Amino acid sequence: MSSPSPSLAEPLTDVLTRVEIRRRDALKLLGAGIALAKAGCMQAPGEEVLPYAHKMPELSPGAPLWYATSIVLDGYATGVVVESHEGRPTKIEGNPAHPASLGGTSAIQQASILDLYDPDRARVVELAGMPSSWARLAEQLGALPPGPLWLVLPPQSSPLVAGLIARIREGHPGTRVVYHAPLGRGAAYRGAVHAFGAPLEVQLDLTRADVVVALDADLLGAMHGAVRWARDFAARRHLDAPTDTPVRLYAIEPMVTPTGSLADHRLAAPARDVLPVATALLSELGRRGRPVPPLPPVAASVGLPPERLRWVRAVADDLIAHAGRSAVVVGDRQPAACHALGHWINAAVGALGATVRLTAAALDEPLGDATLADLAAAARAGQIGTAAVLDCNPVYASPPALAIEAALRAVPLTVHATPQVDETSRACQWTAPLAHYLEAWGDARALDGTVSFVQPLIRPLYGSPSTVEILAALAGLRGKTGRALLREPWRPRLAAAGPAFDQAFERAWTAALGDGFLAGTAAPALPATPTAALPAALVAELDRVLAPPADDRLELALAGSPAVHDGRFADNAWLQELPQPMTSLTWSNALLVSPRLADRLDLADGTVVRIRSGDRTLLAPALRVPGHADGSVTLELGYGRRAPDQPIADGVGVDGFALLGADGALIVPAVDLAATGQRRRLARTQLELDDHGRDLALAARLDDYRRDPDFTREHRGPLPSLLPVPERTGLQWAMTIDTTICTGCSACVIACQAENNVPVVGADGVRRGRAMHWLRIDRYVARERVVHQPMLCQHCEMAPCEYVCPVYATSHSPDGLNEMTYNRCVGTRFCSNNCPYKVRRFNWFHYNRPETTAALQHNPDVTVRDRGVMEKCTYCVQRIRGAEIQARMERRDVRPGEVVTACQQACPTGAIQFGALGHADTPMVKWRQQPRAYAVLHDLGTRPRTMYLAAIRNPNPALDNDEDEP
Amino acid sequence: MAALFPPWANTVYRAVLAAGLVGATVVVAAPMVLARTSYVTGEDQPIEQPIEFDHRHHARDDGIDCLYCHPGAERTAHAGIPTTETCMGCHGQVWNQSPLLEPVRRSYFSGEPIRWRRVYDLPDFVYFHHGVHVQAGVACARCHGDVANMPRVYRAAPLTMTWCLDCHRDPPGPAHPGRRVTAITTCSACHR
Amino acid sequence: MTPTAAADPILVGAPTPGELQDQLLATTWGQGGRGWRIAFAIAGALTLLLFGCIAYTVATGIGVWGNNVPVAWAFGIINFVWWIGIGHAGTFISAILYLLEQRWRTSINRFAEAMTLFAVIQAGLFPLLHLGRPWFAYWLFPYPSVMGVWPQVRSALPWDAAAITTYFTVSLLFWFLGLVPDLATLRDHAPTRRRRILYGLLALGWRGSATAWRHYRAAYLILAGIATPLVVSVHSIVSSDFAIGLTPGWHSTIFPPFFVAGAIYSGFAMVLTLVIPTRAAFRLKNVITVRHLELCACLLLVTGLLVAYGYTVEYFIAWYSGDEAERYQFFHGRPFGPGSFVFWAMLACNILTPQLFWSRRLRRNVRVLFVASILINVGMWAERFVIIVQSLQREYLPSGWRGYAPTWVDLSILAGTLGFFSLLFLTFLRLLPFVAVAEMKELRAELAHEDAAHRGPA
Repeated sequence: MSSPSPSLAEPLTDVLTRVEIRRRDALKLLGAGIALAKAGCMQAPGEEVLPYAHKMPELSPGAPLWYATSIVLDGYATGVVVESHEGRPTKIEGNPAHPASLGGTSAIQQASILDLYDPDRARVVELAGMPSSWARLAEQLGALPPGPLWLVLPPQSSPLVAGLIARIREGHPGTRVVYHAPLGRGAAYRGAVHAFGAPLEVQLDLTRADVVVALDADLLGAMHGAVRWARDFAARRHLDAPTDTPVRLYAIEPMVTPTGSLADHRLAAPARDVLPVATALLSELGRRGRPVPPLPPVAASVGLPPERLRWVRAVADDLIAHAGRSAVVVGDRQPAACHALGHWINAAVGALGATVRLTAAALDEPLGDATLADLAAAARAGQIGTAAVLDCNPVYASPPALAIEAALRAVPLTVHATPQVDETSRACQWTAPLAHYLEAWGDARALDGTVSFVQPLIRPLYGSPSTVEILAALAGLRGKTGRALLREPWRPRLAAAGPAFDQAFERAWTAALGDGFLAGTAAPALPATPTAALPAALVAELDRVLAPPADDRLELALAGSPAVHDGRFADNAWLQELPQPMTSLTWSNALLVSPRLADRLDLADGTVVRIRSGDRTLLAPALRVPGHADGSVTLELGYGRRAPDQPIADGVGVDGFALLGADGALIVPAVDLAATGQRRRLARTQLELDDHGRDLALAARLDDYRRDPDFTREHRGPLPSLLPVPERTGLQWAMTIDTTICTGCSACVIACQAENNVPVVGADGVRRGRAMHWLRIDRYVARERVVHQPMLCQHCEMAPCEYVCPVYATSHSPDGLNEMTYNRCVGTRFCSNNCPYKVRRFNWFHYNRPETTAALQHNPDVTVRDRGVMEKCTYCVQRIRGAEIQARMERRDVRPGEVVTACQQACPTGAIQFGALGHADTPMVKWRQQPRAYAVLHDLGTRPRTMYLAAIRNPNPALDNDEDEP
Repeated sequence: MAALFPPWANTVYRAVLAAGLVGATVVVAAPMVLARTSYVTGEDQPIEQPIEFDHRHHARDDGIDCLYCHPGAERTAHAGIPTTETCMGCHGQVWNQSPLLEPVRRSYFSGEPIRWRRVYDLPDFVYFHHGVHVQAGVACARCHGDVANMPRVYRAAPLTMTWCLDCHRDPPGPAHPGRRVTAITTCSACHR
Repeated sequence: MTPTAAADPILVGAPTPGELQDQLLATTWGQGGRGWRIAFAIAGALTLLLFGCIAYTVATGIGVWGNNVPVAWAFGIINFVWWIGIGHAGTFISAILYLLEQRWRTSINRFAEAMTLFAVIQAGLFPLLHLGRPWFAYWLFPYPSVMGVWPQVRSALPWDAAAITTYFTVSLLFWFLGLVPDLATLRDHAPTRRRRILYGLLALGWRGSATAWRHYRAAYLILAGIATPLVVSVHSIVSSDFAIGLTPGWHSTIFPPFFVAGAIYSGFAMVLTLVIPTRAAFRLKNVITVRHLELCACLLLVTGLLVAYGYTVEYFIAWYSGDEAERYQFFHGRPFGPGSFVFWAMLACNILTPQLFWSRRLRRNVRVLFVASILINVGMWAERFVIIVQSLQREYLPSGWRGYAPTWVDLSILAGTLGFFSLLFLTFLRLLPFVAVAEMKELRAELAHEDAAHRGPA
């Protein structure tokens, strides 16, 4: 990857002006390209070729450029580097220097590139459904009707936005701001207020942790900061030798999350039982002489079942044994009280200042200004003049009790700026298309406070304004470009006033954009210690929530979807088709239930269940998940959208928000389930979770591993063969995957899809077993223990697929790749039948649709496959050959680590390592020399080039017994 | 009763049978032959360009080096078609009134690219990298022929896969001393 | 097995050559009955359906079939193997039984050869049709291409292509050669001039001179010699489509003989299915006698037992190999996994049915024979389903396990090939004598001669 050179970033917009081809032209050219591909190996003579009219200083056709920018979700920024081909962004990669990424990304971040080219994007400013213009809207925003202005927008950490909102407040006194995030972290901040009197941010340093306790906290998956935390965790979890002692992870949660799937001791419990456990844990620490505040009597009344008490005691001992090197993490959806207790627990075990640091909140107004409820009330009372809803969808993503749609309709002037026309747009008078982050200027803070910049890679495809530009219009700053708006506040901050001010600023500015963030702007750690006694507010809250539930009704735990988040990504086909971690469910959500509960209620997979909570009911298909808590059921939010303008999202899955209480709490204490007659066919990629005793995904407990390090001996090493094993020379490419640190987060799956032009096939395609992902994550569950095994082409040295192809369409390269030559394939599918790993994918139909804008995302270095040909993982051969060509031209050899596959690059934990066998001191080679290395289906003699490291668990002897925790 | 067939019927019959055999052979052989003709490969067919650009004049008479206008050839995948700016570099001074160059000036001032027509056009599933070939010492003329003497550029090679493989299977010595040409026949060298 | 020849003759009565000829040529002169027309109409409709579905598949993509990953082969290949199997009886009868001088073949060989041709035509559709890009099928043949790439000989598929085309060509020649004298007869006796010219052109000017007959015999013998190894080779090659794979349930060296036995088994079953109604409809019971049917039944019993042996050995090897996947395949996947009812149907049809033929009474009972032959055809189709689909849906990685369900297109194409086959067959019945006239006359002469010989020393 060529790093973004600072000199490029500055004149970017000017460059883009010239680079940018009008959309229609782009499509025309694209069409020509596709037509040509169809024409087969003969040429369509006289195809047009358009050189630039004017030289691009930094751009040479065919060579991609890389620019740094930032992705902001719910207010928290992650630095990324974006690949651009002739001004066309094609691929997102983590920014290795950015503290929130370290090179890794989440699946959602990988997929965000597709939103830019989404054919369903809003394209024109509309007033009451009639086409209008951005100019007219700006005018309107400049002259608001009487009555206070209300802003609804996602949580913000942007200094620029903060400044603009301040200006708006000056201009329009009485302005209220609603920071709307259904999956927000309000409770966490309020918990911090309980403990420290201020909404502080928790900064984990897992590189120093020996014991981590996750209280309903998916710190390796869904939580903000997970990408970074996963990397740090993996550093302590990966073993180089049996003698290493990996970090031990405890988790208590209802639904199996990536974090829970890695936990050494996972306590499956309803989310509402987490606070009692936390309370018990705190008092156990007190009983062991740790400094804890006196707990209210209600705490004593918490009676835990014996096995949970045993779990809590073991955890307490372990935390103390590793005092100063242990940490407790509380999940965002837990009540403030739980977060508060978490702080006291961390204080009691000396985590504060060591593994857990506290800093000022990254967000502006972390406790919010006004709430949606306030908005609804004010609107009904006619106390709102203007409501501007920016970049969020409150009509959908809010408790039905608030009736936001009706509320908005009661407002004289309503404006909705949105990337796509959705539920909220229908309730507003004005609809403005919102620029994608790759089209916009801006800034934001990462979780740790680092200032990160958002810079565009392309002119807005539809001339859409950005949130910043709309706020500026409201602030009375008309006709200022986002770039100008951003530069202004940063001028004084980036350079000291002086004679050479301008040059100094421009230099700093260019450097900042080149890096994508300002190094050293992370928020400083505060010397915070929780108050000696629990504040009255907290005690009151504990009294309220700790009171044991009247009956043992089922709990409904709502959660953000790992794919579509709170629904804002529901129109992204990649994310819809992403097999969900743990359930491998696509194109829908489902009511996730434990097998035991399912048996009790007689629910099969797909049985439609009527969920009733109070007067609210919802029909949802059930899905059994081994390891789910019995007392709870889980439903992921973000589905069941009703948005005709978002054909991909519309009507897919069921809308969990319908069951949300007025307080918006994601833990719904009591619901009733009733099976209905109907059945829905869920689209899942993996139907069998049992390995049928075939030793496919190996795992071992740490002490067993130490006792017998060679336990994978049966699954590696030379095999007798009658066939001559070809001797290969030169670089030999190979991959090693450590299943100990694979969380199953699936970022690699999307990264692969984006890099290799992998199409989507839709729900029906998945149901028929035609999903096209080159990389899938197999999960084998034994006794509620999950092992994630990323399964991709193993690039066998003795590949069964090769000798059955009648036309040499798949063959072996001298450097050890199993090559797939699409244009030679006639589609007998014999190779797929003969692949024991079933990693080959067939184009049953003409999946790639060149006529949609989505095709603009295609990676020009990878052939777009036509109907009727086989395809599969190539180890990102385009990157390998690219590096080789570069090396050859520079008359040198390919350097260790020079070739990075898309999956490896995206992996937050770095579980995937790729490289050449000859490069002895790379992790890839060192790993596969470990005793726990193994090859899947080794005894078939396929000699796969992809090797795995067995999953090693580090259970606590005090808790460890043959049968797992309930 | 009269004979069903006259005596000469036998001869006709044999002739027909023979013709049938020959015909069958032709049907099979013809496409194989045809595929190798310039009619199918598009070889040696000068292509009309929006501007009457004459390489003889520039490359031969003025002796301008290929890389002056096609700088990409040395380092990147695409040799590159010169930007209008490149043309105007000279034609801003010389022939800057010539009506022949009107389209060039229009492109320069409007920023609208000149729509040239491709001469060497590979299918989208073939990845050719100019830089690595040039660096390995493959001379431009090996594939592009004697462009300096082409009034209107035509394709000097069939661009069939066998034609590529001729070199890739047993590469000739480098055109420039000290360069290394290696035989590469692995599929993913060109197909990715 | 040579039951007493006296008891049941292979030619009833002693018709004069003239009578015999008139009887056998009658089928071509006479009007097809109403039954024939109805059958023809149905077959025609199904044929249209077939070509409709072919067009739809080629235009839309192979995805309109039920295939998936892991089950990347399904109906297409099942039908292919089934039809090519059926196509084995003809050549077996006309070539091998000819070389073995089995006289009784004479009255059914023409018939069986025609059936072979038409079955191979059906089979030939599928290797093309099941391709993702059928328009590149010619890449499977070795020819000097501008790509400088040849087919891969390690794969079974190019051999398949070669084997099928060869088999079809040889069968066609063999069949046509056998027809020549009869075509001449037709030419000489056809009522209308148009027909006489038509048959005349096909008869290649045959005059029936002694020299012609001598050459004819030689040629026929040679072709029989060439055709014989093909009977074995074609299905052996087809079987290697599976045997060379490592899929549990495919990876087995017994496949070639096992497949050949199965092929002849299904071939004879189809012969019976066709011959029984035909002989009734065209009143040929004196020419195609119960004796013929009984002998076919005996062959069914033998090949049926061979097939049963094949199944047994498969199971033994699966157990003996100790391979988890193999064992799962045979002891769980097939008998209890998805589509297991097909497996049990296969056992019932292919193993139990032929056991009836231990009883002389049953194998001489035309109705029983007819039903049994159909059951066996079904059973053999089921066998291919089990081998192909059931094996693929339970392979090495449980994570990749998935079931299979055919679409309406799959079913229509299967029905369509049956229709197309019938169409060709019904046409053949009306255009050509489906019992070899010349050879029957000869046979008759031989039999008469033998009778005389017997009666000689009184």
